[in-house]
Amino acid sequence: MDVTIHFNVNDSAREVTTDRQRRLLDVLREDLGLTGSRFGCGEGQCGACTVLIDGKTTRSCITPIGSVEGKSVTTIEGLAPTGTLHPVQQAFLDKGAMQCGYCTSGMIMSTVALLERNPDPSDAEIVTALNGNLCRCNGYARIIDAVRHAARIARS
Amino acid sequence: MVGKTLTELKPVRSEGSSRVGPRMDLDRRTFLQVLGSGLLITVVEAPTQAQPSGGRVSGTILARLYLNEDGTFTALSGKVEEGQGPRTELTEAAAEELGVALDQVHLIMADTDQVPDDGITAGSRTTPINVPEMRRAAAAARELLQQLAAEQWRVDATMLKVEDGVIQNPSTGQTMSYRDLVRTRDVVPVLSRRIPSDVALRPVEQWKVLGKPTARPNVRDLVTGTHRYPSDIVRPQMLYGAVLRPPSFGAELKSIDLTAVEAMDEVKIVRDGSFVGFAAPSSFLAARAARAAAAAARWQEKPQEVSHRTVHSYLIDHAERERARPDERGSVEDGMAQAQKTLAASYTLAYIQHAPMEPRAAVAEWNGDKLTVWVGCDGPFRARSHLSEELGIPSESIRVIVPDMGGGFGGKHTSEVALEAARIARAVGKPVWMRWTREEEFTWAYFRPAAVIECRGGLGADHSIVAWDFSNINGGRAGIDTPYDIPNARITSIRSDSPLRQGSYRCLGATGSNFARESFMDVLAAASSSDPLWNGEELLRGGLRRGVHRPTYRKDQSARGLSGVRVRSDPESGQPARSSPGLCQHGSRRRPLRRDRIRKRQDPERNVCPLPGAEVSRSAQDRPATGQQYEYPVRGCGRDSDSGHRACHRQRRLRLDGGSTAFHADQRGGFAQRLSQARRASATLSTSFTCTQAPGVRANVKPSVDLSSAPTSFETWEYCDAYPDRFTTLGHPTSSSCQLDYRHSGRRDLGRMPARLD
Repeated sequence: MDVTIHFNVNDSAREVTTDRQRRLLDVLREDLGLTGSRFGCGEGQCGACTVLIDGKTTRSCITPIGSVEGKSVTTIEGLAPTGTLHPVQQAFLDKGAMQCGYCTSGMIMSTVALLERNPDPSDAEIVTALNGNLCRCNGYARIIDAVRHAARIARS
Repeated sequence: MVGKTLTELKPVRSEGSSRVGPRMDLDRRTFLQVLGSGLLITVVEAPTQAQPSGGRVSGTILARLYLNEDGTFTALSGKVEEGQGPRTELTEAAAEELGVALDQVHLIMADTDQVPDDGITAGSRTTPINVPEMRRAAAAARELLQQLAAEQWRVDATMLKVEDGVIQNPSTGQTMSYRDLVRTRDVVPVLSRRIPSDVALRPVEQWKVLGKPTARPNVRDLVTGTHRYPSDIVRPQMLYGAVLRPPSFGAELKSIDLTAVEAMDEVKIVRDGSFVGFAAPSSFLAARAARAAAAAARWQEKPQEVSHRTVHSYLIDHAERERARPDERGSVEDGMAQAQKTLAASYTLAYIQHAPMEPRAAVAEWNGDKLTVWVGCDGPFRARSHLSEELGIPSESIRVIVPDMGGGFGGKHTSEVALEAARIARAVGKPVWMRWTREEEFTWAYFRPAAVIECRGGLGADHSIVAWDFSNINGGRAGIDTPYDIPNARITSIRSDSPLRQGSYRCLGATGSNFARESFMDVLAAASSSDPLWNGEELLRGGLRRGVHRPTYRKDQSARGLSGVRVRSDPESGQPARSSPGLCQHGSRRRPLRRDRIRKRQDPERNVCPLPGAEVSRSAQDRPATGQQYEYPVRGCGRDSDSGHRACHRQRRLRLDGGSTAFHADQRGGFAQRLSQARRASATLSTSFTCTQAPGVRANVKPSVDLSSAPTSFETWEYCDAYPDRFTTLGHPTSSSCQLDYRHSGRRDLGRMPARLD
């Protein structure tokens, strides 16, 4: 059954009319053209589809679009609205914290949320925060390094 | 209308390269025929070309490189970027030899309409083969362009030099940029020349671009999410595709009632024999159509003879031992007869999936009889040939583009998904997007071969190994030989009848053979001495244990960076006959692992369990002394994964800090640590740990042996016991097996199980 959902994506008001069971990830990618959030597993386990909903990390592949009515969604495309990279993006770039890069959007979004609530995380806290994000190329050490670096950039 | 049905498709031969050993051919089982092969594609922007793309003759500079009107260069490569770094290094190679900055070279990769056929991207061949190729082309271009400038200035070209894209005459101070040159001279005739074989390359000590750490050229697109992976490609009027899958391997469609699907608005059905595909305006609707069709389909299923519990005995029963050709040095039988103690162990490897983060995905677009396909695969030209064959159109009518993709790990040598997209697209007359679900990935993509590895060893009176008998059933030849100096050794690769479709896997079969060999070395070490066997210092000196080997360090090039390792040598040349510990073993090529460099690059603190979720711990007293502590994981990587082997030739981008395949390395590492602890405590070792790295993948090492009593035989050790329920659930809808996989995946924070959206 199609419904009309009003929500905010990257600070702009959006309205979609679609089946309320469709996943947010598909709506972002197929209806709104925001392909930066990736499909990895479709079951909320790999973190490639991570977006922020009202500031909290959310797996958009298991989030029905019907549940985001009135909410505010931030995707990787919303981090650098003016073209200047977000500190976390800059840190991932500086540290070369990706190989294929397919997990990178989700890693960055999880890191953004982490640093919002904890500007100076310990390594253990970083690992805990990113535990739901998989990198199959296995670049974890660099990713953790990038998160540390991002925290430093954001603090300075 | 859409060519042959899926069941009529021949298995692809893509992973059947002789280089990867005897068991890499697709097997003979009929269920293998359920899927055909697919293709892959990439998208590239078209640069402004000063030279037309047509008429570039193979072997000429223009086939590899051209000069744009703005003075920048466009380089061409048939290789694909899937995270292993060729985009960076090939760009660097061209920039280095052209004498320009990195951003002056734009690299087009894997577009069959634009680039030369460089073969499949596999076996870590890009660095040793294609980088030198690119350098030669670029060096030849630089020489010829220099000559053009010299002619203009009426000087000797050898007097000129190129820096930052500017040709300079140091004696007169005259300068001319490539941009000036391309505007004043027709460079096409010059660049149409063949690349001379003896072109001089810039010596390593003069490198300015190569060998320097640098960001991937499109890194900004990756961190901003704007890069378009194959699954991100969108075309005008594009529809989303899905395919009806059989409930089990070998099942045949008996009948299907598509009434329910026909009733769905906007869903188009493509039916051709057993092939039933759907196209819809959203992936949600396409998937819903496929589910509705599955519910209305009746299948003739085949009994599944083999389960994950019986696969190894099945492989043993079907081992073609009589056809095997052992490689024997000395006499294993004599060696065993002389031995004071003989031991035997067998190791098993499960079928595992590559599980790249990006599932197999493609977009197919027909324009009349011409087809363009964007797909994530390793071999764009191979994909083109396969599409041509299956779709009955000439190769020239097909363009395959492989955008930088989200991982492959040896699993994307075929491109079935592109064929499926192309079939549906042809039938519906619109571009069609296809992306396999994780369930499809884990069920229908080919697997890393399961294997049984049988080891026998004999220990002499001096605690040396006097006999070594190593047979790998179904795992392939890669990394099968022993690097250790054992007088009587027999190495055998044995084919068997793989019940599942199997193919290449990162590092090929070397992961399994290395795992078994090194594990059995541990066993021999344990049996050879009552001393604590796992001494970090000795381990660092080469991975050999007191009482087993007496280190005799060979100071030769291939063993560089290693110490305390006795490497088997060729009696005639005195050179190491094969690889030594830490040397990479990859197919027929072995390259030295530069441990010296690895040591410099690694941060010791980070070797402690780089994998979130991995339960591998290392206590302080287990750590070797500072400065040496890299050796442990590197040892694992070098033998058990391709990361060590990548490191050999890509030192500047060492990934060992993350351990590209620490998946394997850390299993070994973690096990060894526990083994060490158990030995010190003289305890019975019984441990298992998990290493979660990909959705649904569970790695499990379950040794349960009492090493303190130096037993003479061991139970089979399970390795990489991924998908424990895979086989047992083959007869059921794949969704349930997928869930089971996850349930067993060992992750602690899975949250709720996947919400079924329909």
